[in-house]
Amino acid sequence: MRIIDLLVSGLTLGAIYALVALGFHLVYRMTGVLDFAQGDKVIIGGLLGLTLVRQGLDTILLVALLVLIAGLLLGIAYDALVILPTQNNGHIATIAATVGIMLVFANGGHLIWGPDGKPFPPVHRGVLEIGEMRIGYQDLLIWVVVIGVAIGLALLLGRSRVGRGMVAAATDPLAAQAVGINVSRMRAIAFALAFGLAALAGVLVAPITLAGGTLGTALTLKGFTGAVLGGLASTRGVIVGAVLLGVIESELAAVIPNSYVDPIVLIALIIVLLVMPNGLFGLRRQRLA
Amino acid sequence: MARAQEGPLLELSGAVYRYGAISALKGVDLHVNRGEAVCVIGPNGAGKTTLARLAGGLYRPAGGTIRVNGEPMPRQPHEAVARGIGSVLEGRHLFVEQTVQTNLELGCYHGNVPKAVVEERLEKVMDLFPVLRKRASQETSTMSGGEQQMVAVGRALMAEPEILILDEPSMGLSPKITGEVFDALEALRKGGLSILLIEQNAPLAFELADRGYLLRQGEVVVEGNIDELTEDEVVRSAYLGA
Repeated sequence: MRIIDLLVSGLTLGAIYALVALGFHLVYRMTGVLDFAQGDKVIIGGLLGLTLVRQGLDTILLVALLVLIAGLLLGIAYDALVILPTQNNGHIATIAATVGIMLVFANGGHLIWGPDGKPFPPVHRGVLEIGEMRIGYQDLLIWVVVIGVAIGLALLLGRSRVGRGMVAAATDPLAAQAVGINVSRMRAIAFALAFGLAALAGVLVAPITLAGGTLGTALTLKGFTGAVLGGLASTRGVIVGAVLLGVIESELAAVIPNSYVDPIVLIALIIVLLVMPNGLFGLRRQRLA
Repeated sequence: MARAQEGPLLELSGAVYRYGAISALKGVDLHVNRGEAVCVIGPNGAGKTTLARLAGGLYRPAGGTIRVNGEPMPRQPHEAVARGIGSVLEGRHLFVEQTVQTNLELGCYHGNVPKAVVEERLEKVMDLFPVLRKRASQETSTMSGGEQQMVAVGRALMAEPEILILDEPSMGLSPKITGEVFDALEALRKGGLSILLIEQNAPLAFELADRGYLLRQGEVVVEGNIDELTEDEVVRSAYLGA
């Protein structure tokens, strides 16, 4: 495979990781929680989309929109049923709960839809040819969505009233309450957006990765790795980290056996973190439990 | 905006608060009338900060009642500000990595206040603390303690509260900066703002307040107007160096 083709597939792989990493980033920045169910939310999104397709809905963009809305609602329920009951016991309890939910999502998906990945139709089957470079329209769509989500998040958190409230609530919940910010609502919005984003990602990546199957945990680990590599608290950082991870993986897989790729990437991550503990684009202060 | 009614603006009756098995407040009665400045003094661990947060609607009492303008304190902490309560928290609690202006603007978050009104209120706060005008675009984490305290007071004022609750506003400040902050508080008091001042520095608190309470181990042990407090043996020996 030529380097340019590897780069294209690496960028797509990185963009998929970035969609997971952005969910990690959003929840972490807004609540201080690491949500390890993020990858399996992507799988749930793909399976919900598959259900709609099987019901005869063949406009994939409409499927994506409906799954996005379902994801937003599931995020609110997720906050109420998983996060809220555990938050008073500290971040460790909440993180443990997200790991538990990761397993519930993975096994629940297998019970309802079966353990194997299933084909999922793309938005567009065509390929864009630029000189000798060939890029699938589905790949392009994923890239565009990642860029759009990043810009949207930046505008939401930096310019909108709700976004300012979310940042303030994340920075100092007591002070936020003192100025009239409903901290519980801000947290619910963060989880709704993270679930909605993951569910949307599920529909977009299913034509490439298949819908369902056992990829959720791998997506969680790769999304988290990319986010930490770039800097978990930085929007730009998590995207760069995730895309870098995808490209490196893709290029390495072409020259060494697949089983060596993950250990090499993770060792490289440890070295980066030893030199730059907050990641490549780490903010000065990161909130940790 | 809360309606003005007969009776105290803020009233705690038998307020109880516990941290697990430990009682921080054991039935505190306290009130602040309209236009009045009231101070609460007491040693470390007396329950002053807990009292400030109960009075500010940020904590829910385990027993007793808290009323604002004759009505029960809202159950949700973020709703207290809409009832005319402004809280300046101990340790300032600014939104770090945000500028002075953003911190101040967040002070009127609750009401979805029109931009023009926000601008007006910003001007008022910056007239009160002129140094903030020069620092408007500066991150609060890079400012001195005194300037941060001014931002904290200014942020609470942005909601145009009926009562300002201040928890240890002089803590960690030099006498000069403390004087500037308290001069501003005196101006606000003269302008009709009600104040509940929680303060360890009794002489400073007595300069501003009309009445006061001495809190010890979660209970009010002395109360009265400032003349009565300054004559009280317990207060004189423990807080006025007499």
